[in-house]
Amino acid sequence: MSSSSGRSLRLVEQRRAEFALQRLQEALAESENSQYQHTQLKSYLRRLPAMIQMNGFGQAMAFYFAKRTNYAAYGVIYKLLEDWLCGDGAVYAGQAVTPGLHPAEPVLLQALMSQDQHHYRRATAETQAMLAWAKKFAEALIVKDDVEEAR
Amino acid sequence: MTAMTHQMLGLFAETPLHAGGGGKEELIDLPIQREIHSQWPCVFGSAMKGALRARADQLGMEKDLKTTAFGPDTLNASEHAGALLVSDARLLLLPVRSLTGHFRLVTCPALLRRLLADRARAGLAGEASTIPDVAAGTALVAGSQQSETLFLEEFAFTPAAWPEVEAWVERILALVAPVAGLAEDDTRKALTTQLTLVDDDSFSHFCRSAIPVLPHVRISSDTKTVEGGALWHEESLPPDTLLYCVLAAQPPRSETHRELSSAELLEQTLQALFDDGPYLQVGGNETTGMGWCRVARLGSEAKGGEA
Repeated sequence: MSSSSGRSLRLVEQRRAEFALQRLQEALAESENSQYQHTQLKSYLRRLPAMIQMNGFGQAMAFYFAKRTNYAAYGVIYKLLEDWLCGDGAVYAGQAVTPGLHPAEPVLLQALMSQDQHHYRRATAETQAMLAWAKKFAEALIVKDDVEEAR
Repeated sequence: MTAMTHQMLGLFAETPLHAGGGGKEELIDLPIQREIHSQWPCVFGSAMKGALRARADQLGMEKDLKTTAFGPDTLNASEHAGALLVSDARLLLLPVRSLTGHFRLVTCPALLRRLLADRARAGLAGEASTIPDVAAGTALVAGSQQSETLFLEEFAFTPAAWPEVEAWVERILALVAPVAGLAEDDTRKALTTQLTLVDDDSFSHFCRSAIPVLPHVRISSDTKTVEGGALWHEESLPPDTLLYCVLAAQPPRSETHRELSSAELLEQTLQALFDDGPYLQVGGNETTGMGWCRVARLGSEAKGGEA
């Protein structure tokens, strides 16, 4: 629980929206290079909810973590979810996450492997709720489309 | 004493079924219809009525009977209402993949309880039966197959015996229309082996994670590559899903069929719709083969699965 009284009165949806927006703005403030395009953020966020439903949450997270070296946007999305799910009061609270936009250690993957099925289900539902916002903000803030979207 | 007559239709999906429930705002671009409070997949009554009326059009149902049952066309809509009441198609069995073997037909106590309530409303009360308690992490199955852990999707369940499984198999079988050339006992055996009862919470999760999502892309004819922005995801209910829908008839309001009772009207309508074959196309993507259901009719006088 947060110490400031105004915070606790807010909806969890408001806190999700705030977190997603802040993360995306930070990610868009980082300059682009050959391994990091802003349009990739939008395209990878678009496909993640379906991937989770098709392949399972753990598989989808492992895929995003594995892809981070060549396509940094995958890592940014993985880290957004890791920080949200391991934050105060969240399903995997208490895990030590590294600071920054990019992941270093697979903290979320370790957490979801070590905890029980009930946590895993909660994390899946929470992730989809968070992605609804992240996806919407990405659509709103990133105008261009990734031409290689269907890759 | 009400003059209404009821029948229950069992809808066994033979091909994927997409009854679309909204737009791009969702996580999945084209989600299926769901009940708001439970998030269980369903097909809304308006979509079911449309599917029935479309079949009536296709089969060339006699015009006056069609107007009496479904109501007049839009231009004359103020004349009288149709006599047929069509409910939402509700979920009963959801096929779920299993790591350890053949897929399972999964249901939960809340769905069974609702089936009994719907049967009672439709005058199909039948014998009383108990709805077993299922602990989280347990899956109830027919007695003979409870040796090892049962994996459904990513989750492990401990199998346990479902004491009254035979009675439930019969009740469910009444909603599965027989296939020409296939012995009923074969269907019964398969259903008994695959029927699995899990707790309500686990079932809610499967109503998300076990629903297939198919990516669709549009390929440019010139370049044979994907056109920009032309990737979308579409949900559908998998084949082998079992739904049911309650049909009710009121006494006809149209001049042409005033003499018919509600029971006669319902019987004539259903004969005209299904005597040629127990099939109904429900939901979208008809031209790509989706939405074909095998229809079982369960009337209030019927003893069981009616042919």
